[in-house]
Amino acid sequence: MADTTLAAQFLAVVLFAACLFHSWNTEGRRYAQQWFFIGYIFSLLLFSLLVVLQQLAFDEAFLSIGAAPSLAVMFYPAILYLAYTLAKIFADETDLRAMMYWMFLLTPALLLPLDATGVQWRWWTYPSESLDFLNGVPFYLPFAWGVMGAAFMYMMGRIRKIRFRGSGQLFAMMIAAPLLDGLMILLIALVQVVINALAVVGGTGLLYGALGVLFIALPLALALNIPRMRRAARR
Amino acid sequence: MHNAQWTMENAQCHSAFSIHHSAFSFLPCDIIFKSLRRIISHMNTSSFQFPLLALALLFLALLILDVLGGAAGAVYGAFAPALLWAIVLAVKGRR
Repeated sequence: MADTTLAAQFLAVVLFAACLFHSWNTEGRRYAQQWFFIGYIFSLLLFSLLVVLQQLAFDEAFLSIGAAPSLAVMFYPAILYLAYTLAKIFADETDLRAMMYWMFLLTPALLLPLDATGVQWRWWTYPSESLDFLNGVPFYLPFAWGVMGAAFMYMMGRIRKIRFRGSGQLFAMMIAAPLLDGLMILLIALVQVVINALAVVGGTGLLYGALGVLFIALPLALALNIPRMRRAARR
Repeated sequence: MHNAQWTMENAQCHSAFSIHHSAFSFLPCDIIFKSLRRIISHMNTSSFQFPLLALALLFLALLILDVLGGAAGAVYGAFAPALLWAIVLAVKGRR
């Protein structure tokens, strides 16, 4: 199989740069620096931890810092930013709970094609013993990415509401990001346990059902205008 | 006035392609020039157009990689949730 890691890293850098440029132009220098600098640190640390804990293994051809690939992780802050930009279409930016809900729904849908392609080309693999679909993507992963999107949104949104002087918000985020990474490991482990328990109870059918709720039922509920969903979204 | 503006843009476009003018003479230069300018100005100002454009290009690149890698049919199912969200956005994507 041909080595496409260079193409993956090129894509990651271009996407990161385009999103940074857009954020800089629409939200301003301060917010762009916060989202992308902190997002990069957050992703780098999270993926280092996942590699060390043997939940994830990257191709050796990737340029790396420590255990995590230094360029390929740029996909994640960029895709989180795209999910955040789309979430703003549905919910008020200042309504943190609604934004977290939309990030939880949008992030896995945007990351799933990347994960499926990454696994297909062996850019990365998931060596855990969890059940998988799409030729190697674990069932727990979309839920874990949803939790990651919501948690990152909470951290950014909560700190942006605090009135610090100068670069105070940025420094607060620099302290909060590694703490959130530690919490994310715990949350990912929890999601993994819940999904594996579901597999024991209802087999893979139940897991496909759970994916169907995340990927089909909730977006369709929004499109079909189910009132309860509208209330949840507005909250 | 409109004619003068069109001539100016066409001249700029023609100067940009002047080296290969004969090779690109079949292209509708003014339309390409205006479309590019419109896309770039939208990218700077609109919060709605950019994510869709960026995601469309990203997914197109991933799709091409999947096709080149001879991916199994199931792998293409990974794009279905994003496609569904695109439909939801088309239906409900206005606050």
